[in-house]
Amino acid sequence: MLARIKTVYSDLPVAAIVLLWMGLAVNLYNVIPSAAWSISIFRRTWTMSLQEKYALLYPALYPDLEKIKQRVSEKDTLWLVSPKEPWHINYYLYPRTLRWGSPRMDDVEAIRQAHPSDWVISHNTLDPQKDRAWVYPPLNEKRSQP
Amino acid sequence: MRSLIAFFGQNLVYLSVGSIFFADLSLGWRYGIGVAAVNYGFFLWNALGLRIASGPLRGVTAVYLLVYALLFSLRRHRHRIPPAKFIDWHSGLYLFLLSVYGLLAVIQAMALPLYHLDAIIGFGLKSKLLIHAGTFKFPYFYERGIINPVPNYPLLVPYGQAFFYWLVGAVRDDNVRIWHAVIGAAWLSMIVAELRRHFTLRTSLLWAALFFTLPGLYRDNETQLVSGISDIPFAFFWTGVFLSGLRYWKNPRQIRPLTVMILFSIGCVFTKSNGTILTALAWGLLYAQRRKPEILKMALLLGLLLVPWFVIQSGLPHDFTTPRLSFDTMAARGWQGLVFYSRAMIRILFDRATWGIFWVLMPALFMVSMRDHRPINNYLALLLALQLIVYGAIILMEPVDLGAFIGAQMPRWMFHVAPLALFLISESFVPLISQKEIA
Repeated sequence: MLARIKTVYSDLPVAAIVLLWMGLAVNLYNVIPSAAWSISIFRRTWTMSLQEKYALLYPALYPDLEKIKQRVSEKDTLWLVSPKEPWHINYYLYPRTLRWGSPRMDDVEAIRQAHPSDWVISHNTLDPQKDRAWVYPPLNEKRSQP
Repeated sequence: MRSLIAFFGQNLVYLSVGSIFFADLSLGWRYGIGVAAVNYGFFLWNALGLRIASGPLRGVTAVYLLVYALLFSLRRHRHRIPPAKFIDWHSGLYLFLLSVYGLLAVIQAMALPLYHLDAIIGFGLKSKLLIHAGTFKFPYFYERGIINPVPNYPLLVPYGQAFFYWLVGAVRDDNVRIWHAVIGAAWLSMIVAELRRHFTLRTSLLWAALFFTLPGLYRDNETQLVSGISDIPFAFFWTGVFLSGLRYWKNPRQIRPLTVMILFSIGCVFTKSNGTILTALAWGLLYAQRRKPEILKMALLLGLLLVPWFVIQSGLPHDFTTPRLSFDTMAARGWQGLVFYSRAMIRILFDRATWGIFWVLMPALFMVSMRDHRPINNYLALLLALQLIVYGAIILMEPVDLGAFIGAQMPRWMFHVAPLALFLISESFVPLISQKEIA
């Protein structure tokens, strides 16, 4: 067997070839969970629309964002109140301008007072299952939640 | 359908641009040159105050590809490395494995849109800004207070993704991740082509298979090949930088590797902040070891080409929440910080779910090569040591929670280091082959 390896792989010592094969075998074994997970996700999503995929990723947050996008025009500015960075909701709300408000959730009213003609949005956590967002209209409009 | 046309259009543009002057290089090299040149070209266009719009860019792309196809049909390409005459079953098995992993990467890219946090906030958002505004020169990049994390971060990945969106005419972040899989394929092509200079096809594919089957490249986190962050493109460009440096180091009479090194250095610097210091190290070390005036001239040319980016980058605000690196932080952490860092690194490198036994194999293979008293490649060894020192220093200088920062950054940063380690070790077997060839 070793002699055979030596003949086939004449450009490396047999010990090196065996080590490389060992590494390859360990890699193959350790990728199985990722492969199984990816294939199961792909089977679920390959017929889905982009919006459905977003909703799958953020089951609580994405419906909130969709409602916010319907209410707030693309030209409007929103002030963000959120204790947790990074503020990935900006990615979904663009081209609305998202400005940094405060990291304290209690500051929502203060930010509204400071910017009475703009919207305020609060966002609580990064946990994809519990992530929620609430929007507060400019002070001359009635407060509402999505 | 539109996404499919855009996908082919984008990648053909990259490949053809790289092929215009470097037709004799393998696909991965040419593709990398194209990615660096085209995306840096977009940046320069914007830097001149000009915008990019979807319609005109699609027209220009179509005309360019048509003209290139006409010229290409009249040209014959040379290939320095002759293709294997037949594929034996060992090579066939490794190719099959690599194809299965490639398919897995494509499945991962197709399954979900960009969703890893850094992929969204660092790159996805900037791609959206670029396609909507047609330039980086608007308030989202310049005004503090508007939420755009790290506005002064290098823009190659955002431009690459925006190029795809411009050709599609819309933001399709459920398709754009395939571009990252193509970068992975180009990286593989480059590594195999380089290994083929010294090894047979089957041995080259075995080395490459060890690297490209690393579980971390397919995990559901930011080390994933198609996660959409800049680390994999950066590792690709960095591999190009040190490999072209190595070519020149081995044969300083040839200037051409330095030309290629310039283009990959641009890609490196324009993809990730780490690129500036690593590129400087690669050029500096090359000069320190070879002392050729050509190196200084080429490094100067590289510096001149990068001046627009450095000038504009210095005018863009730093992220208003991310603290800056400081020596004081590192000094305050002192010895304890270093011990903490070392322990955390050991945990990361021995994490089988990301690395398998890669970091055990590298020293083991080195010991196998040492049995025959082969000399170590000084250029690669010093570069690896410097890269590890720089990365350690950056981590220790960042005034944030050390454990969290190491956990977030080092698993992916080690994918920049791993190709260098792979080539350092594979190079340590090269003299044996040369001796055999001589015999």
